[in-house]
Amino acid sequence: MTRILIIEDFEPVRSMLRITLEKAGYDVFQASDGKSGIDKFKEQPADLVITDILMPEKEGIETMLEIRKLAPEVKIIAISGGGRIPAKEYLSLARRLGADRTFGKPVDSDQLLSAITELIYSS
Amino acid sequence: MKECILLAVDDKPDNLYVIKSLVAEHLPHCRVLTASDAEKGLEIARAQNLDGALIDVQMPGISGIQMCRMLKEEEATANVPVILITAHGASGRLKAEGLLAGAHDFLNKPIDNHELIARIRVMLRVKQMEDALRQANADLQMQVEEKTRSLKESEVRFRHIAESMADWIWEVDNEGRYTYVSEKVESCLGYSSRELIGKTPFDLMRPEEANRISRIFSDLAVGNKPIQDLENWNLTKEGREICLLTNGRPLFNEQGDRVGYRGVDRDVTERKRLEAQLRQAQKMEAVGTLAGGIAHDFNNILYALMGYTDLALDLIPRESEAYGYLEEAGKAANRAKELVAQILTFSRQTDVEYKPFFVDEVVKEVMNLLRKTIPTTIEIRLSMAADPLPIWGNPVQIHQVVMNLCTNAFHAMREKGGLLDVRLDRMEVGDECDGTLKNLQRGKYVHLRITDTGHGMDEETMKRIFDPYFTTKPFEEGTGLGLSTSFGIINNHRGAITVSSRKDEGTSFEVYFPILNTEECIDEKMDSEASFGLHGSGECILFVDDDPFIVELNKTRLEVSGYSVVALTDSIEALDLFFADPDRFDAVVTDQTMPNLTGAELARRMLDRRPDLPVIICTGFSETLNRKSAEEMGISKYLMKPVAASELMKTLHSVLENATERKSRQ
Repeated sequence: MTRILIIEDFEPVRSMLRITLEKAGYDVFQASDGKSGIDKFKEQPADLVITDILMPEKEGIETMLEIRKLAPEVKIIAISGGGRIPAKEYLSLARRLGADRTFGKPVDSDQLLSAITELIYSS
Repeated sequence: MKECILLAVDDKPDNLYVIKSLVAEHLPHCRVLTASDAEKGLEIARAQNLDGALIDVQMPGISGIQMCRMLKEEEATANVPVILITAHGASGRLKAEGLLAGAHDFLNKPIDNHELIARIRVMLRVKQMEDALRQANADLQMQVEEKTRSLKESEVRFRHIAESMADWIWEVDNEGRYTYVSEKVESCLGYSSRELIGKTPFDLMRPEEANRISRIFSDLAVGNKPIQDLENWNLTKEGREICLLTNGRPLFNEQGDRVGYRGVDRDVTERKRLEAQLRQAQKMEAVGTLAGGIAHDFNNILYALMGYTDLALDLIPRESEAYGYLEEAGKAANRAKELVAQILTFSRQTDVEYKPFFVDEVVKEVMNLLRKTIPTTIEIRLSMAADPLPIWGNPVQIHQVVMNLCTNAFHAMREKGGLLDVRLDRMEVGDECDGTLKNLQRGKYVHLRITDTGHGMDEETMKRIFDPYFTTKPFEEGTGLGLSTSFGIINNHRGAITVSSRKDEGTSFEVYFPILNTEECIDEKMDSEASFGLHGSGECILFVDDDPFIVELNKTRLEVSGYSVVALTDSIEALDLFFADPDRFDAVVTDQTMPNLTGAELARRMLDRRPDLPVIICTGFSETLNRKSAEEMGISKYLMKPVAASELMKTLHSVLENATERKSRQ
């Protein structure tokens, strides 16, 4: 079964994503910040990582780059709701630094699921 | 004692000797100069500063009386006191003649020694007193002249100040009627000082303002209090609103009764406007900072809401009542998402793409949309300049602005119907422009005016209409963000918006955008028209450039145009990917200069494997590859950097078309 790691500090989004993905038939595990996300990934690598960008402890871009180092073939989706600078800018940075797909929050569930399918099948 | 000089004139030397001896004996501080006739005497008198003269009346040639007259006539000698010495028994007539000639005194011969000395003493005392008096007079005269001069100077100075300062000076009587207004008033209020005499300041105000100010003024006048920094709004002769800052003091007559006020008025309209603008900017900034801060949290919360709503929708049958409710919840969440985006727009938190486009086309589009939705009780009139009006900006946002202004106009006329008048033309913003336009750069502008005949608004409302969240509309109709968003968009386009309105008469918004140089723009337009319709239909394009930004940009451009794009920054990786599945790509677009493997080398290796592959190579001016060698290699097209989007689209479209033709011939 395809394994997906969700790294997201906002609990309601994290749980909602977990449920959505589990319902779609994925094996989901989660972390509430970048640091514990990397630890979880080391314990048990995933096929695909969904990471938020603005997070405490370790933000998403750095997290994403470290995970990419651990497993160059892993698929990464970055999501952001923006902050001091617009989400678009965070996401474009994430894209340049190796995120396979990016989405601005709130994300349409159908779009997210079809992006996951595409990324999983392309590998 | 001061030395005195006396002159004795007599044709008889014995007499002179006697006088000299006597004076030497009794008046040691006096020196006696002698002359044997009037001419010599006059000479001495002119040369010396004499304290007195003793002149014999009977002399040959010029007589003593004549000499006395001559002394008195000459300015230098006029102040010399004269004692005439006459023969014994001289007639009263002679004495009278002597006095008329200016003599002070007479001595009769034979001269009595005591009398002579006594008379000389008197003469000297009188002379002293006369001198002191003359000095005092001269001093007084000088003081008067000094005072007069400084008075004149200060008058000139004050007149210059009054004329050159932006402020003007006024005086009013107890009824508040102007009794004096300095000329400066005309340049500000448009009325000459003569026109204002007899009018009151309240005559220049709108009734409500006149009421407010006259109440304040009466309160001050009751206590004879000064007017301090009283701001008041006035109408100029041309009907322009200006804000004056008034300062004044009561004027009293000698009895201590107040006879009026005197003061200074200053035009502070510009300052008020800048203050208002600053306040607006501060508000926007505050909202912007807040927006950036909350957008992140809001988007998270909304995401959870929308996600859970979707999850719930999946669980329940479409026909259940809850399904409909959840759909509504989802819609509401979507509306909130749009709202966050909107707040970010006017706080400049979003990056929108700017490009040249024609405002007139956008306005026409909005009007067409409105015609379909606005009831026929509202007449729409549109007039615009015949030539196109290009600007640099984001057409979607300008669409939003025009739509917002027209919708507001429509709402204002919904109940009673009316006329929506939309005008679009060019105008020049120059130094003569005032108000909001003063802040714009000088130059040509597109001028859009949207006027309605609706319910209008009062001044209070007008002051707040650009404030975020200010609305006069019912909750379900307006968020209070429309005009503040428009304001933000217009500012970002380096434009301006102004409003004028009268309660129950209507409202007029005027919007200004800097116009684009037409020639540049028409090229762009032709470009965009030429590339219009050159859409891909899912062809797979491999795009290679070592600059991640160019890759990013062109990937988006190509995807938007309907291509499927694989974009890479590493040419070796590109080659590997190509060899993994050589038939996957319909065309390749590559940069020439890249580390490890150049574009030409990459193209050569790919073309070795697939000679029919369309390859477009992009190169800078100084690069070694030229068109000829590129063609020899079998490269389809050779483009010089920088490559415009439209150029790339056209080229790509044509190489793909050629490839299809070739295939169909085979």
